[in-house]
Amino acid sequence: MKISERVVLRFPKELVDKPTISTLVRKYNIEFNILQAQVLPQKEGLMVVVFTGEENTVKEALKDLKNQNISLQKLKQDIIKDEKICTHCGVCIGLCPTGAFYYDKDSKKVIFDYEKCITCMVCVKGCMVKAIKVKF
Amino acid sequence: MKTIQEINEKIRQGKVVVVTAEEMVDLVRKKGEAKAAKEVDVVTTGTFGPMCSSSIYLNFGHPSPRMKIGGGTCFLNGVPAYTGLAAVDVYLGATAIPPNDPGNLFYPGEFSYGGGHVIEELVNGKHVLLEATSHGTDCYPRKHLKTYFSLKDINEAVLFNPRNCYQNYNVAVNSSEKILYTYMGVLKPNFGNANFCSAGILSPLLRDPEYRTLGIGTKIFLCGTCGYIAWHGTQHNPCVERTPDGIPKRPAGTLAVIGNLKMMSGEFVRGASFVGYGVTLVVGIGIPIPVVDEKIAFWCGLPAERMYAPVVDYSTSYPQRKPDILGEVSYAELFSGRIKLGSRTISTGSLSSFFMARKIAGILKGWIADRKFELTEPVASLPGKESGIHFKGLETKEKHQ
Repeated sequence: MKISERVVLRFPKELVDKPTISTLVRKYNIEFNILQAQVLPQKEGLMVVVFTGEENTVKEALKDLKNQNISLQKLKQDIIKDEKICTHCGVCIGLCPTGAFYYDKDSKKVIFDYEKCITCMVCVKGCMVKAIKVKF
Repeated sequence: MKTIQEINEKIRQGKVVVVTAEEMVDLVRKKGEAKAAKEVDVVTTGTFGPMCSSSIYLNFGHPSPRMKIGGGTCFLNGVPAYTGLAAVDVYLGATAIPPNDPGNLFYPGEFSYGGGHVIEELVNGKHVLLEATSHGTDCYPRKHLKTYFSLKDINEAVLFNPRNCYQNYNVAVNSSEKILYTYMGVLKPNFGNANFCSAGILSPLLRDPEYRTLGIGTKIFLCGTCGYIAWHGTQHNPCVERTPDGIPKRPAGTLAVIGNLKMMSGEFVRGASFVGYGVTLVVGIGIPIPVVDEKIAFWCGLPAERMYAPVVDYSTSYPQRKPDILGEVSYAELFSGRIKLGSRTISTGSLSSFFMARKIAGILKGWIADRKFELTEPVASLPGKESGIHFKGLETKEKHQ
């Protein structure tokens, strides 16, 4: 079965100049899509990636990354729309490039669909009551 | 056809027919305005959006020994309040920010705390740090004050908003290559998004577009309690171009409103931060419209397809105060999530919460149906489209002429 895993990777300094992702996708024959990357020489690197492939191979690949001393977090746990704070104005709806926010047709509440989110974080800047938080 | 007194008598007898403006649209569509005018007595409206011209004034009572904060300095949780009033009266505006806030020095600034947030915390019953200094006088000898207080501890706390409830507003877009941080929110480059700010069919002043039933003294829903229309709002601009139905096609009328802060609910008073712009207050207002005749029923039943807002470029025209607009779009399009502008399709975002506007209109409807809220005759009218009032820009002068 094909799956997509969205993960936040933190590279230690000594791995930043290695072609880690390229080696990984060749080894396991999986697809990748980099959503965000801050990888600078001599600094800890941060990358948000979606890996797509057969369930087994994706899991193996992620395990491989962990063994290389790369810290790994699933992405969707890091994105929060706090329902106690949100006023359901919908300013995030127009900002979001992937349609991850939408109005519920009946209630007119703003719904957040994790699966569509690419963590570009434009909504975090746009939310006037700070109901949307992204934590790495 | 119907007087406000007759409607109030129906409220007292529990016989009043009250619907929200949203429900009125369906009713008028099905039955027409003549029948709707006969059936319905009151239409409730609601709006919930950022309204920068919002403020509070407080009277603390005197500490012992007494102190003249008037003419001195006063900070509430570090946010400056205006002290040019009597000894222990101060005034705090929603957009005030602490003197040590970096503003836009590190662009875009966060503006994470300011007057709007202080107001929200007070309404939620929280304690706020009051720090004041004074020059000291024979009658008011104290020179320094540092204390916490909550709304329970002080004499008066009044919300007074010089401009709320805009009748229609701009749709903001950005034609430039760079992202803009504005009071209309984040505007992505190359027409990346379009932000608007109106409750549309629930918006109070779009339902009585010629201010026939509301005016000075009208009792309203203000942030969870009863408030009043105090005056027309600043920048009230009733003489703009209107549709054949009489609905303004540009930002037009505004209201100044007043109410007891101590009675308000934090659900309807929210501090807000616009990245790169500043702090503001999100305010919830609902106004009952008495259906005194068919014309009012007609207006209250107009669908979103027949209300238009101007699309304004916030990268050029707006900051340079040029009057040109890029087009007009209906509120039906705006609420659909997409507008068409020439060959472009642009995603829309709303700064005003329709969910909350609907909630407010529903609460007000409940109050009226439960005989807790009677309607008021305005003490005086607001300047209408015959007033000749046009709001001005400020022409800068080199010297006194």
